[in-house]
Amino acid sequence: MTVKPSRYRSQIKIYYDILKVIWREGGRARPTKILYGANLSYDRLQKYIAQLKEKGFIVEYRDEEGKVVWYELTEKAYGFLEQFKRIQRFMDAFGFSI
Amino acid sequence: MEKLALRLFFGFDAIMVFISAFIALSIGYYAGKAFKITSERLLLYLNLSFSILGVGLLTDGLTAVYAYTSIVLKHPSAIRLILMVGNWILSIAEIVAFSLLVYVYIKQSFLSVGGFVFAPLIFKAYNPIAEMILIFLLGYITIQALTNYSIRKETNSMLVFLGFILMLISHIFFFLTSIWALSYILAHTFQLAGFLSLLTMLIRVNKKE
Repeated sequence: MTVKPSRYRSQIKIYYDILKVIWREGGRARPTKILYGANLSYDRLQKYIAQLKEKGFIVEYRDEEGKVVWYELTEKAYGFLEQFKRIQRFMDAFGFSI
Repeated sequence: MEKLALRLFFGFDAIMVFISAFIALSIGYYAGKAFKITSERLLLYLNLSFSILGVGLLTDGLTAVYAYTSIVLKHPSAIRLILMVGNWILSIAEIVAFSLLVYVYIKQSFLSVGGFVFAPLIFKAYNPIAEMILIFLLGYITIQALTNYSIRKETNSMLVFLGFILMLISHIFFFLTSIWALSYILAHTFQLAGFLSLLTMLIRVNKKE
């Protein structure tokens, strides 16, 4: 009896992983924390961060020099995290994964 | 006395089937809602599977209600035909629904490997071939659910395993209906217990942590 390795990560799972990293950091996190926490390359992280900002899940904060200091979760992101956790529990119960 | 037995039988049949249908449709609805959020195809299959199962059960329940009212209204002419049609629809719906579930498990598999009182049963003889197919399909699904539980060791996975094994037992009893009338009541009881187990999982999943 062997367990197959998990499949590729879907886009929605990557969103969840990024938001979860920020949530674990207390609702705001620095880009490097997200990069390592979500296990993404710099280019891919930039792509997904732009999408999350556009969807209204995170807000970007910059310093005086224009450098990104941190990303903060919005209320919409907290709602999404809660819904996603429930869906994951539902799928886990059947033995499926997202 | 015979009419009372018939009314009791169809009343019991309808109630058990309607509760099971409600639970199956609730699971189907939740899977559909989750699919809208995630676009995950597995959830769409779960949605289709439980919705088909729910509609099949609902149809079977409605035929039982029809039979019940026909007896009350002393108009039992087409009962046998209606019940047979309802039962065939349920059998086909169950085979399609559980085949879909088997497909989903294969797609994302963890493994590489009576007496007088029961006289009305003659109206509602379960199709032994359909039951055999269902026992086979549910057997496979139960093994997958057990494997998942043995890996995760979570209450929700245990409830899904319990749900499917109870449904499997219920279909073994449905299969035995033609030779042992009492098994019909046991079959319905196990089926309902199976759906209640899945409902418990659904409630637990939606509880706020």
